[in-house]
Amino acid sequence: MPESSPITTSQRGAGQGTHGGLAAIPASSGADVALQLEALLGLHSILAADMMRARVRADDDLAQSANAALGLNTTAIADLLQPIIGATAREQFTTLWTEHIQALFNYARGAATKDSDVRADARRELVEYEDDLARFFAAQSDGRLAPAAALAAVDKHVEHLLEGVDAYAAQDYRASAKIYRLSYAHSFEVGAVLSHALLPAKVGATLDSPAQTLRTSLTHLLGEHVALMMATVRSSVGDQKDFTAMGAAINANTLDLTAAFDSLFGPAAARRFQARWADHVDHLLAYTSATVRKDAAGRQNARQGMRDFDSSFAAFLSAATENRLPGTAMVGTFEDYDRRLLAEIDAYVSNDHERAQAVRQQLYAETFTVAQQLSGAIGATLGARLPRGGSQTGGGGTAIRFLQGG
Amino acid sequence: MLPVVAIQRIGIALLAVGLTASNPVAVNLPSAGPVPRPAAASTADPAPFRSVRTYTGVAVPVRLRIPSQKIDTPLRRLGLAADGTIAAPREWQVAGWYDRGPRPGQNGPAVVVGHIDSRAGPAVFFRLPDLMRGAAVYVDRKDGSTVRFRVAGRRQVAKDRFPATAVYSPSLQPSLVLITCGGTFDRSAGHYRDNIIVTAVPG
Repeated sequence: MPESSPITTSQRGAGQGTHGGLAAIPASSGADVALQLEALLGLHSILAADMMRARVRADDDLAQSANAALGLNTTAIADLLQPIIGATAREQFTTLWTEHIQALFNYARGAATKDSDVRADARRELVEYEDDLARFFAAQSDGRLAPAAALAAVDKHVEHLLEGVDAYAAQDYRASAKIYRLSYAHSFEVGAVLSHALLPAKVGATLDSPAQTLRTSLTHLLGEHVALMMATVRSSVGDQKDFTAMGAAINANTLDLTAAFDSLFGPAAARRFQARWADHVDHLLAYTSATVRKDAAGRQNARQGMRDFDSSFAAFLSAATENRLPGTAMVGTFEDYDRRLLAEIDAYVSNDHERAQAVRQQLYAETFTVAQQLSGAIGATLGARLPRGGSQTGGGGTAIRFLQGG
Repeated sequence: MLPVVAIQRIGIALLAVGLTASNPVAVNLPSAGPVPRPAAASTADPAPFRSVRTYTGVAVPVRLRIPSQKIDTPLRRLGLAADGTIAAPREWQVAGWYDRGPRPGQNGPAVVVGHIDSRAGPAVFFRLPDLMRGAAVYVDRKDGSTVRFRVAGRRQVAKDRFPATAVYSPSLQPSLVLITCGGTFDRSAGHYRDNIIVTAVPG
């Protein structure tokens, strides 16, 4: 079995039941599980939207590759949940989750053909799955997740996907791209709700710590960058109908990342970040354009631009984190990342959706590690500069006298 | 029960997206059928794209208003005192914003500090300990904009056990933290023994 294969039921200890497998896990490991659940659900929302959009565009190849990736994603979620909920519940989850994906595809089929009956049937099915999934998650939570709260979370997830594909079918690409981002963000929220409900209480108490929320936010933003970047590349090499909208979405992500750096390091550092990040995005799309045009010189220029970015961005991060992220190591990491990004673009341009999807998912998964390193270094750097305690904000004890009417 | 390390490894491997999953559960998709296929990919020159290169940050705060407590104060900039704490405002009736942290409305904890009293009587945050959950807090900013927060929680902590990491640590969750003194007054030290910490979130 390959090293990264999901662990089988027998290896896991089947039927451990709710919380059984995680009862003795340190909170930090539980926090990892929570963030992985959020990230996997985020990826699910992206892949589901991609599959539905592909169906509207009648792009069978992309729909099939997104569907295959959704299958892997579903297995990964089930594998992650199994130590918490047990093998029997894992099977129930897998069945419900897979059926809801099928119903989403059916809805997209109705949207593509403007067949209101097909859409209505699919929506009815989805409402049933929403109820079933909500009851399932509530039942697994030992009373910590009310069925109504679970239903609200699942319902919003489905509505985002339906609204997104409706907008896409109506060629309202700006609205569809906006919902693409909202759906992704909401999936992280669903993951947080489920983590609080399913993981042991001692783990739940750690999920809202500043360190964990910083890591979660960076995972969210970097993962979204990967997802939007590749959706933009795909549009760029396809019919380009939603290219402007996806470009606006990736710019919105860039601004969110810039705002994050502003919040952490101040506006001057944020602007330095933005200048470099904007170069990075532009070089990737310039590489895409050159590849489509079979422009070898253009490709080479883009590659050189990315190498310059790697050095410049590594130096920026190294300085910002007081060398907690060493520049030399960062350059190596970025160069490796670039190599695979360009391989993914090459795959898209040559219509090898399966390979492109595989590389994209690897890159998406690696944002988990990148965000962990980044948040750890940032947290340590800024943590060393924090104020030490409270403030001396009482001048004479007269407040008590006033309160007592003295 | 699985060892901890095993669980951690499983998690990382799973997030590596289960690319080699032994039994993926993809659904069966019918082909697109009668819908016209899109034009073949990779034939047109992709549209030009330029990343956004302008950024308008959140303006600095200049005023704090809490109507329910009749608090309405300009905000001065605050740095650190010699002992590493946030420097207390120099004026009894004027609160201050810790300018080495996020600005109110940014992602992260923006901190505002004010006195509860002076030797002469109540100061700017005299009524802060009475703030109720849900109360509105407004911060006016230099560019004329205003951001509204809602009080989410209030607690009283001993100064010698002030949860600095929990209160000040960087996160990307927007919040406003209001700090003043509380508890009993230590006349020998000339200070209150506790701090009141009010946390508010956008809304």
